[in-house]
Amino acid sequence: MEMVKLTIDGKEYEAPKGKLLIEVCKDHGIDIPSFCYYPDLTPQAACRMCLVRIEKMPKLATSCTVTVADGMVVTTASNEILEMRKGMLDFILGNHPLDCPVCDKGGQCELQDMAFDHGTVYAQYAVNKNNTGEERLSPFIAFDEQRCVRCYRCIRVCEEWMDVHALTKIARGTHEYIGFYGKDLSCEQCGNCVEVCPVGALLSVDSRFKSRPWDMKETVTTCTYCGDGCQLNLGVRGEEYVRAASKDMTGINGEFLCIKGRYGSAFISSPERLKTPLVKKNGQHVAVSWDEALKYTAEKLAAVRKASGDASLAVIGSPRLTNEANLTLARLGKAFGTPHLTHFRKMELGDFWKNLSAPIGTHAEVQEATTVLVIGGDPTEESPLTGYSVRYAERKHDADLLVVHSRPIKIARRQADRFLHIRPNAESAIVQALVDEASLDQMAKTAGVPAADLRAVREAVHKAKNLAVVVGPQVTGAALKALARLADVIGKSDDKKMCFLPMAGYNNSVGAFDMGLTGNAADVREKCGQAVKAVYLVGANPVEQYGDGWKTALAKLDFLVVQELFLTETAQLADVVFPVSSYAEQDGSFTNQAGQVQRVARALEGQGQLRPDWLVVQAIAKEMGLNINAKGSAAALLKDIGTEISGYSGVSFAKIKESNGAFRTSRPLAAGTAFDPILADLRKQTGAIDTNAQHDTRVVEQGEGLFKLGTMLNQVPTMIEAQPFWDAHKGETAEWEGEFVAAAGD
Amino acid sequence: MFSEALDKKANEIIARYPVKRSALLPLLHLVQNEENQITKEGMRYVAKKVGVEMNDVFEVLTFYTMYFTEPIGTHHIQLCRTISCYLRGAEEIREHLEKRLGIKPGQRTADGRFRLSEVECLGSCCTAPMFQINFDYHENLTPEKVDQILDSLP
Repeated sequence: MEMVKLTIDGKEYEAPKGKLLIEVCKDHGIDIPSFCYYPDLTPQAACRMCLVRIEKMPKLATSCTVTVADGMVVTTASNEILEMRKGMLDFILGNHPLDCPVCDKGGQCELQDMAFDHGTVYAQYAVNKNNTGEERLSPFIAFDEQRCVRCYRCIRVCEEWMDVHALTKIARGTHEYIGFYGKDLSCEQCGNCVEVCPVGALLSVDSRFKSRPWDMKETVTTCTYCGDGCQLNLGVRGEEYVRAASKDMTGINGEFLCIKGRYGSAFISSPERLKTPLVKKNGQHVAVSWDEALKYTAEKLAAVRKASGDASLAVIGSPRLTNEANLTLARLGKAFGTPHLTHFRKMELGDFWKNLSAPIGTHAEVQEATTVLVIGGDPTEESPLTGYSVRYAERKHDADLLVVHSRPIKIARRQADRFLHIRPNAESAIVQALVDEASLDQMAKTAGVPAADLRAVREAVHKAKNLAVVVGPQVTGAALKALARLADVIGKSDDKKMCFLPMAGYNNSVGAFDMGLTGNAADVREKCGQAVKAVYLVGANPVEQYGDGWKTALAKLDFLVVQELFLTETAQLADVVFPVSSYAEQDGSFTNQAGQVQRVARALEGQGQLRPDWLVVQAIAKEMGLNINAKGSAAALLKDIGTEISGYSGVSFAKIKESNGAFRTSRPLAAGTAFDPILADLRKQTGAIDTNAQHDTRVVEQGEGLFKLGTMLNQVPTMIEAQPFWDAHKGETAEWEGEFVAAAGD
Repeated sequence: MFSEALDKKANEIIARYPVKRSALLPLLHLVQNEENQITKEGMRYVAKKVGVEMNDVFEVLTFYTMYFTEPIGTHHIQLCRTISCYLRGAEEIREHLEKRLGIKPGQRTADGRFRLSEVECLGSCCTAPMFQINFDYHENLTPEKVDQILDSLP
């Protein structure tokens, strides 16, 4: 990188050519006040707070738009500049209300800090303020026009980070405000605009007026929704959850969060939470003591085991639980001696890991990729941080973005350089074309895409210098195996980089698998009442999520134990229900889909007699007289993971902290086993594709996946209240973007 | 929705600029002249034509004062209120117009025939006071002359 020499305030510095002056100053600890400058957003030069004097320039210059050059002489602090800052603040404060005592931002406000550091005591302007009220833009976001400093961070975040374009500036001059066309804010409701707002102009409806920032205890933890594993700050006041935010910008997500991360955690303070263990007596759940419930459960499980054998017990863990909980569950299952060690999952990670030919990439690596292939999943709706990373690669260095999906997803409509709109369930055909050139024309016909397009995608993938492959759950069976072998097929060389990012689904899908729950819980259903007589089910609600088949299946069991947060449809069928801590009430770790182990930290005690999942499992084992190497803390269990689980070697809370909050697991690459059997299976799989199936041209609506409610979101009041709002906006995406015209295939 | 002739005109306008979105302002005028206002359809047409978001179009049209999202009216009276006209009695003209039409600046008569706007200098100071109705100048105004002009309008 070319370096230039410049002088700032009489001192000489070296800096990379082309870097923004304000960034160079910040790097060297020189304070330059600014509102509109924000890392990662395009320069705006709207607030005029960062003006500096540069020699040979006729006027003061905005340091947020000037790039450093050789020989530049800069003054950042002089009477002239201090006076100018005072004047600018006077303008900005001209219409600002004095409502700091009731403002959510009070105490964390950049304008307060700025006025304190750079402002004057008395205002020069004696004109009346334009008094305006607060406006509710959507069920999640409110806007107080008068507090706005017009830095346009929110607008740029919405455009650049999210590609939603929901916000814009309306009118002009002192009457300008942040708004939009239409009657309400129809967007993904990620709330990133609220996050970046330097003042209290944009507000989260759910946490507004609930707490002053200094009354809140904030704990950094990992989100409990999708597989991306964003870091968030849980704000808790007393024993009550207040808000989730992402403020310190140190996590893998920076300041990015999605609707679920930001507004989906209120369930932890829901009054519906289970508070005591429940045992079914005469068909009714009765609250009992922990001792009684544990003893009863142990006796029943032991009885079933004695009567029907080890294999009659099944353990169903959950990708929602911590690694520690899943480890104890796996240990319990092994102590039972049962082969049914399972959890519910969207993707057969085992097949993928076994054939892995390139490392699992982090989000940062996807952001750096020059070619990105997204196949079989919708990052925007299913893994928002992955979506953000793909968009980032496209936005920052115009990566070649190739998208394969059976429906026109957002990233395909708006960013993709090439979109292969395939027939339903035809992902495997594309995979075959990628690994077997000879069959390309035929596969194009099978998938219903133009052969030229498919060939172009194949070429782009094969020639890529830095390739990231984002794999979704719709790539299954032999196709998943073959895709995992892609790096071997392409051929490795030193000037080529490649990584995979599987969209595994849940917050700890990868961890649950790694901890030893390798079976798929879906296979247990058939066996219920036959080979399997008792099920130990933790943190899953198959009755609601996977259909009524589960209700009849679970009813056939002799004994069902459920550990849950709420009395779900599944828990209602259980003989014993244990109330457990949510992710906010316990310590532990999650492994995200990029294979990073991140910390789950206890933010609050929780109401009622809650215990962490791993503690309950260990207590049952103890009651049954089984040795499962019980440990007294999550930290000790994590140490065990560090010694027992391959790839997790050496992991501990301290190590996670050392690795900036994300400990990277290692995964061995497949040693050159034969590819031909996989290819043969793949050919069978593609042969079974229905080539008469019509293309699914329905546009994927904004929020189609994001706004879906599950066990936890069902207990978040704002989410429930937002349902009519979303219903009212259904169909809008398709209306605005027009009918999607499918590419003619054959 | 819009005529082929208009679409052709729009293409001509776009062709004048190296970047498509530069044609945003003239295209907004084009659809406004066609429909006497800028409707949702008009915005959408322009947005698609130059490849920007609806919000971008809305941002621009709320910034400028010469775009209307409600019908302008048959005759748009744009009265100059800058200093030369002001000194020569623009205020009297305004009062007369307000009385005769029963509306204030920024409003439209109930029958939709007239809209009254106050605008800045139209560059006709030597013939002040003056106003512009749609695209025509009317100069050296007196209340009587205003009546004559308004009476003569269709």
